[in-house]
Order: sequence, then C-alpha cells, then structure tokens
Amino acid sequence: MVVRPLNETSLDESELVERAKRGDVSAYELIVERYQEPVFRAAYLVTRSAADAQEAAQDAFVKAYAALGRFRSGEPLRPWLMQIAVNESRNRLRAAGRREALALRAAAERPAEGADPSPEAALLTAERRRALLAAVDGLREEDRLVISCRFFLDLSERETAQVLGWRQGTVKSRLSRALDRLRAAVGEEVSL
Amino acid sequence: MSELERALAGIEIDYPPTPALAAAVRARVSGAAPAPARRLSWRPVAIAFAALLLLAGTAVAAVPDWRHSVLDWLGLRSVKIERVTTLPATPAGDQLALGTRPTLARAARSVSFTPVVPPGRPPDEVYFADDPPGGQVALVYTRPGGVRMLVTEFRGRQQSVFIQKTLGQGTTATPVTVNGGRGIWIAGEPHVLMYKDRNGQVQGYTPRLATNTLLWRQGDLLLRLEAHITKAEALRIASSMH
Repeated sequence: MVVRPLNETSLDESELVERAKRGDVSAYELIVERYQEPVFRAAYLVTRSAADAQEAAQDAFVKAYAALGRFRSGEPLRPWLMQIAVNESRNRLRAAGRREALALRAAAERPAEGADPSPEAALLTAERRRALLAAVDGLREEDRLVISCRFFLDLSERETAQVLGWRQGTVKSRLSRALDRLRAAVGEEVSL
Repeated sequence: MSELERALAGIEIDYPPTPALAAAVRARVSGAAPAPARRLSWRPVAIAFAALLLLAGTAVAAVPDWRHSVLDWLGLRSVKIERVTTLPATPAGDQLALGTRPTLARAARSVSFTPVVPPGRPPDEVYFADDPPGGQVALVYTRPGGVRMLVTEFRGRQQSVFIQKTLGQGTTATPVTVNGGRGIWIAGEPHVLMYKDRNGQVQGYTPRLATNTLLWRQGDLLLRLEAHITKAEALRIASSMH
C-alpha cells in the first residue's frame, strides 16, 4: 500500500474520511483542524460558554471518530460533526442550567456602512442589533437553535436540518414560527 | 427575505477564539479504530441491553456484587459498564440495519434455529441477517408511519467478551421470568450503545434509541422485544411465544 503524506491542505474530504475510517489518526487530525471552527462555534451558540463549548466540541470529535464507520462516504462531513456537537452541547446546557448572553462582534457594534449589501439592514443601528440579539436570546431553545443555524452559522436549510436532526420541512416551519415569535418579541422596539 | 431576516443575517456574533482541538482529540482516539462500516451485530447490542440492568439505579450501583448476579442471571459476564451524565450524540436518520427481507419461511430456513412468532397477527415485515453466527431473524410489526413492535431472535449461547455500555440516568430494569427462561425488562429514558471488541477497540456505535425492551432467554435463543408497551403487555406477548 502506498502511503501518501498528509500535510497537503488540498486533500479531498472523502479521502481524509476514508483514511480515518481505516484508523489513520493523522487523517482524522486534519479533519479536526478543518472543522474545529464551525463545530466549536455551533457548540458555543448552544452553551454560551467558551469552556463548555471547547469540551463539547472535543467530545463531539471523539464520538464522531468512533462513529465514523457508519458515516456515509460522500455525504457532507461538516453538518454531521456539527450535529454531534450541538447534541453534546444541549446535554451540557441542560446539566449546567445557565447561559451567558451572546455578544456582538466589536466591529459590528458600529452602524453598518453604506457598502452594506442590504439597505434595510444598513439602517439597523448597533443598538437595534443588540436588542434583536437579546430578543433571540429570550426565545425558547428550539427557536434559538434554528435561528442560530440559519443566520449566525450561515447554514442552508438542508444543513440546518442535518445539524438539528429535523426534517427539512420542519426546519422551514419552525423557522417561520421562530421568526414570528421574534418579530412579536422585538415588536415596535426595533421597528421591524 | 424579510427585513427581520436581513437584520438577523447582518448580526455578527462575537465568538471566542476557536481552540486547537486536534492534539487532544488525537490523544483520546489513538489506539481505537473507528467503527467498521458494516452492520452492527445484534448480539452485542442485545447483550448490552442486559448490561443495562447493572445500572438500574443507585441502590443497584451501591451493591457491586449484585452486578455479577445479574450477569449470571443471563449467563453473561465480562461486561464493562460506563455510566455517563450525558448520552452520545445520535446522527439523524441513521438506523440499525436488520438485514435482507425474505419471507418468514425462507428466513426460518436460513437460520440455525426455529424462529418463534407471536400467535395471531403475522409480522408485517421479516428480516434475516447472517450475523451473529447462526443467523438472526427480526419480526417487524408496523403501524401507520412507523414501527409498532420489533422482535429479534438469535442463538445467544455464546459468551460475550466485548461490551461497553453507555446510558443516561433514568433507565430502570427488572428481572423477569418468561416461559421459564430468565429475562430483563428495561424501561425508561432512551439509551444508546457503544461496545468494544475483544481487543478493547471501539467497534460499534449505534445511534438507535431503544424504547421499552424485554430481553429474555428461551432455550438457546436470546429474544428481544422492543415496543412502546407496558411491562405486562410485553410479558403477555413474550409468554405467547413458545
């Protein structure tokens, strides 16, 4: 068997998965490096704690490795890993019973520039964004999750379905209801 | 996209810096091969259900010797148990394969035993798998939109040497007797399984969420009945299978 070096960043995901399935830990390490950011961020959006998110993400990668043989080659790996992390995080969240509030990135504290692709969004000041984020924070867990996946993690409807373990139609309907509740929560305060 | 959605899309979350996880993950997975891409054997799974009993509650946990008596109850030893506060994640849509789908008669010819079937309504679907050795038959009783009851049967004489059981709190298990054979009724919260092979490697991970389960021995068969039913109902069905 020819063993090729693993230091190439261009290695195909499916090839990495195949190698990892055969017990190649170095290949799996590359997978971890490639996806640790979305996995960690998904965990953080649920746990709201950097330490808890780190633990949940690490556990998720360990469990994913054990389950890798059952992962269908050719399927996207990222949402699958994120799903495991979200489940890990939700369990931790229930155990911890606490959450910190999400914060806006400092750069986003400023009102949006004129170059913003969405003129309506450009009108939304940092204050309004903070109010909107706080309103998201106040939603029930299911609503927060679907909104976080679609808007904060920029996942597609299909990826969101995979990460949350829901049907795609369920994502659509739950997102719609979550947005209705968010709209009701922000009300006239942010004039949306 | 509504104005609200555009506003949400414009939000940038202040994420903490992503920690480097690769080294820690590597250290934890080294020496353990991923689960093979083959069908998960029901034998260790069923035996793992037996192992559930070991963790039936704090009273049980406080009496380690009781664990051994329970394993002896089913003739199973060498089972390693791990209690966790959080269950592993379960990939969506991933189901335990039951094998091919022959007729009951053909399945009966394929296995090394005579399958027992509850009298009355015949199973809606029958599955055959050649693993474990001797074969396994699964009887599926459906209801609109899902499975009402699942019965699996295989020769369970062999001793297991490889189980790692992982389950959350809140699962209870009760020793029972079915047609003179020993059994266990497992009820409560869903649970998931992982097991290790004889070399200590993690060889399987099932995302299957089990419902209430009755596991019992009948001759050299190990039978498992899984359904959203009461203990009394499960025992009544199992008793009719002889």
